Amino acid sequence: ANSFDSEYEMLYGSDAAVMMRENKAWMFKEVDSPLLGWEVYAKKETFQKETGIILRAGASKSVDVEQSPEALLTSTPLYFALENFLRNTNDVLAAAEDYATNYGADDKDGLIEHLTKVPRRPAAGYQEALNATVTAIKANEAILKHQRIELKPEWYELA
Amino acid sequence: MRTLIAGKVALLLVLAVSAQAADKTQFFARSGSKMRLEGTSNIHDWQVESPIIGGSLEVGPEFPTEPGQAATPGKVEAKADVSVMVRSLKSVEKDGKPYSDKMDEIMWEKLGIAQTPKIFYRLSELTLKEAAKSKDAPYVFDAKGEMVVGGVTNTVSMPVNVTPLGDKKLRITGNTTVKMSSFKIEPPAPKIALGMIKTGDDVKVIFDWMVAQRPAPAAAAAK
Repeated sequence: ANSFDSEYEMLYGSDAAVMMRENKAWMFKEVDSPLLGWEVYAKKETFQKETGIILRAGASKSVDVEQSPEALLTSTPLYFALENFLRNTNDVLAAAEDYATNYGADDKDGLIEHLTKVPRRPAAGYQEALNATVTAIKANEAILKHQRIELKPEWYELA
Repeated sequence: MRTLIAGKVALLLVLAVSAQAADKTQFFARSGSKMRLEGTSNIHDWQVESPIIGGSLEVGPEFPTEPGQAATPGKVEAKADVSVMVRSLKSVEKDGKPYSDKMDEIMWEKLGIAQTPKIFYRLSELTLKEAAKSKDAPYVFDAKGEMVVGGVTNTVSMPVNVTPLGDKKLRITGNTTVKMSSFKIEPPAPKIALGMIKTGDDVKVIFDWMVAQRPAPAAAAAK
């Protein structure tokens, strides 16, 4: 490689062009090429003023290790759990308000039935938190005591 | 003397207006309604649903409100104001499960939720085309009205089926196809896949609206 350019290989097709440079490769699709559906999920990178799909072995399974510190901090399971909790809360409140506005506030049975049908995003509730906590504590106890511990159903029940 | 005559004329006018209002029947939105939007894109078809349709319907004496009621084809007296909250529109999979929060946010933004939180439909003309063939069958109407989306108004004509359910309830169903561009909405092309996702301009609107007359005031009010 020098300051002018580097060695790379180009493959030109009717629907896309593929550039292979050192140990990396990109696919640049033509604007009028048909969309097959998987492209929307593929990782992209801007290269020489064009945005190309990164061609990397196992890309659909690998974890992106190039996350910025901020992204790492905001992508924890707790973050997603809290986000889902807030979105679910907002949805239920909005549904209740819309129902009362359109159908009246006196139909409480109808309101309850309507709110039970509001879809909720997956979010850990108190039972899931209890199950996870009990399992983790008992697993740690088994490791420390070097003994087998059978998980009993009553440990997962609230008093 | 003049005061007495003016008073009698005023009383007659009030009685005339009251008599006219008494001929009209009002129906109000009830739970059990649903509005569905169906569209296309270059990736896959999409669908959006709202479980709430608000508003009211006012009809004249010739409008069929009971199952099996006799009705003559022709123009009928009817006025309706219908509304759907934009935020109640949620994208769903084909099986009805929630699809995507991101798509919902893009849709609400395109519908101008901040400035116009509701979609409106105002019925201006209703014509009975076919009376019900049985007690359970619907009456088929042609409806003409105005649809307001994102602050833009368009005239919309569509067939509408009205099925009286008894107990002062009606079920009103129908569908029509509109274009996003006719409401000055550019079909979404979100910039999340090299700009490759393109939405179709045509949107099919399907509604199933339940309305009922309000029950008489409670007996306690009569005490």
